[in-house]
Amino acid sequence: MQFAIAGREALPRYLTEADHPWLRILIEEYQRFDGKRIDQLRERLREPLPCYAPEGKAKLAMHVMDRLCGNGPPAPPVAPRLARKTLFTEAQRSRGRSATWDRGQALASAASNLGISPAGLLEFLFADLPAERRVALPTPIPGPSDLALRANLSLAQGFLQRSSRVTLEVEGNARVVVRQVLLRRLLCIVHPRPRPQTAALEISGPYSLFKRTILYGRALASLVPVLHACDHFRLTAEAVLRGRELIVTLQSGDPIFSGVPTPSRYDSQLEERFAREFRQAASDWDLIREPEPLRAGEHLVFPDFAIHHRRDRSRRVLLEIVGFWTPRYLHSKLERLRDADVQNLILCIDDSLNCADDALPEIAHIIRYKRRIDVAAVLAVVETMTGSGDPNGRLF
Amino acid sequence: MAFAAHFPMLLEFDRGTVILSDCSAPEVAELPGVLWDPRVQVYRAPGHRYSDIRSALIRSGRVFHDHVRGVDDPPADHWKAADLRPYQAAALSSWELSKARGLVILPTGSGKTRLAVAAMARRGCPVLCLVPTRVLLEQWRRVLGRYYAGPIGQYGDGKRAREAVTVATFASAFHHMETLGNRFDLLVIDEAHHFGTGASDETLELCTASARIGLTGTPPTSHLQRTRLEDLIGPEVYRQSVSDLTGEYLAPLQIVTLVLGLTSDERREYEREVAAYQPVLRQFFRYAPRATWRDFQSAAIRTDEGRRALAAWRRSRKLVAFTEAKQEALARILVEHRASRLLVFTGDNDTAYSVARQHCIMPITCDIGRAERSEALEMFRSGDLGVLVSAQVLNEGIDVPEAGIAVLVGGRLGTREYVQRVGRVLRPAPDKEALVYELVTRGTHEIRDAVRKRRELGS
Repeated sequence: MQFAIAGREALPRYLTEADHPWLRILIEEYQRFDGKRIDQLRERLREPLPCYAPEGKAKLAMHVMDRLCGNGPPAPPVAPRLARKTLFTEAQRSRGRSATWDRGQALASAASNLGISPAGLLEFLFADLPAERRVALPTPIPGPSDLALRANLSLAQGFLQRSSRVTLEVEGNARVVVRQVLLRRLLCIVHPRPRPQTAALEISGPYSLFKRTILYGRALASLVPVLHACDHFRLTAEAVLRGRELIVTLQSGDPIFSGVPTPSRYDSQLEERFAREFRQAASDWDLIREPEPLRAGEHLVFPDFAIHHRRDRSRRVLLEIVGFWTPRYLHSKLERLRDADVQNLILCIDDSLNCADDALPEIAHIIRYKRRIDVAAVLAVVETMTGSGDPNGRLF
Repeated sequence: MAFAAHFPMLLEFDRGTVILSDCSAPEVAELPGVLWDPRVQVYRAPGHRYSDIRSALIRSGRVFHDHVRGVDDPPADHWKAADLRPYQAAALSSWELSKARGLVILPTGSGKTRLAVAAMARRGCPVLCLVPTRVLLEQWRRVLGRYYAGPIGQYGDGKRAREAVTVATFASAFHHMETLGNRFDLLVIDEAHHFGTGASDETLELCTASARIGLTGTPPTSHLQRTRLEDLIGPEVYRQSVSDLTGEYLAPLQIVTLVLGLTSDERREYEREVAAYQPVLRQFFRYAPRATWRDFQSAAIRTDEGRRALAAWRRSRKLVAFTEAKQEALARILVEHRASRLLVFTGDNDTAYSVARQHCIMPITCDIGRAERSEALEMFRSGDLGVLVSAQVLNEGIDVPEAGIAVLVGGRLGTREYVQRVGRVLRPAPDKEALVYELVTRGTHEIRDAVRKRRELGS
């Protein structure tokens, strides 16, 4: 693990541009062994590289390269398992026949049964086992900067693997994170917000109450790539590193995301179109997809969007798009929003659902839509709800 | 402890813990292992405290609903009785008298699995057997199949199937005990000395099974580990040594140490490698006389010189692991004992494959797949294969009573591994005399190691 200690904090030592020269040489070493046996490459990498490479960082980069490389077995003329069975049973038979055992004869006999040469038999005898597989470089071969980012992600995950609980402040696409937390059977508690419009999630496992366990380390580490989907995050982990309990912080801007697929940010094309049109139309208003989760009794509520004024964040409304409707569903949804003490709420309701006016709540401003949400109508309601306190604020 | 009997308390299993809900009495916090969980506003205890909590509640007269257990008992007629030797019967009685919790220490080959089967049959409850390796997983399933007529579950080696009688590898149990923890009433822990060090003790802590039997042939020597094992499994309830059982229940043992030389080329190469690492090693220990080998390794990897020294040290060990003289000696042993079943042990997988290539012997390593491994062991039992070579996999617990001769080719072994390897040939068979060949290289570290291990085996 690459980190420095400052008081109670572990500061990750990420791979930076300064590491690119030796990373380039490391990649070249892998290229030299492309198609050769993995154990030969390992033997080579036990020796120092021809340029200075920090040991810990180099190990991390090798670990990442190993994972990226496939280990493609060559296509042997016979299945190695069959070759082993044939040779070893033949050797056993010949060993039992006479007091002097002739290895060459046993090899020749087994090879002839398999229809290959004795040399070929020996070459492919263990070709399917991990150490004898061949190095198969990925396509495309990663460059130094990509490898550095991947190594950094691995380092960040390594910290979380040694953690028993983490605290996560998150803004934007929070539901994706919470969903992943719950899928991993972890506990997720929403704490009062330390800053406006952010939520602090405490993520741990049931057993974390009793001891600093690494039981949940794997699940916690697997959350790191998910954070890529968030607009902003700050994750604080309590990890046991080198026998000490230290605090590790990961946050937006850390060089840890590369090649991590970003999950789709929108549930539907309707949402995506609305977001695109809104951003084009309202340059002074920010639109946040799935802002912080809100606590509603035993449940968490994730409003679809938050809209706030760029220079006056107190001017803020939440917007929920209802594309599905039954009286019971709507009632339950509004109950939760009420429990969460949501004040400024706009409900966009699909007109084709024939939702009667008297079924709609009084706590929300209603905007009906057909196929697309009218951005101008939304902005007008937002201005009305929040008041135009900012003289620089403009509609379009 | 007295509880006000207002309304029934509810005990539930939650991912390896026991939750106590609907309870407001402050005395709840005094129950064994119970803590207030402010995250979800309930009282919570580790799974392994379940039986203590239950007993305490019953003693206090508190009414409670218990929803912790997650399965029904398997039908009693599924079990066949296992014949026990006198010492096995004594161990079983001793364990039962200890409230079905405890550690049984018996030498390798003395029938610990059979004792566990008898304990399972006697309890007739859902049971989870924990084993260290995939090979042992297979072996336990096979043995259980002889005594238990129902389906046998498996966690590990690529399978996840739970039954009233289930076998799991340590690694798989560690990852799945959150869901398995309340499904069993008896926990059988094979090679129990792996626990108690803190590394994977949660496996036992997340399980609510009150009855626990730990089996080992090599109990821990550390006081701290023994104390932890006592808490997690139970006290030591029975112990017999190799000498107690040799003759009647274990095969008599003879150890032959063959001291072999290096060829002139090998000697030259060995000395060159030693010359490359020894000055660095000496210098380190001159400045840090109390440091350990681990400390040296951590320090060495920080410099190019240190890394070169470590690489040279590794090459020197590899060189003596399977020298020409060892190859010749092994060839002679294989021919001389061609009618016997032999196990060859090496220090690492690379050497195992070298032996396999050189002498045409089937290797059993962690890389060999389950189906092929089972087939090879079956062929060894039937005699279609007379020799197997292994680095680690055959060390622990594997039952090959047919094997009468072991050849220890080399490798850096701890005392525990050494005892386990020797133990592989001690399983009794009619007219069997166990023979262990130890191949060591003159003028190298192997001589010193062999003397130490023999001394520790004797003690």
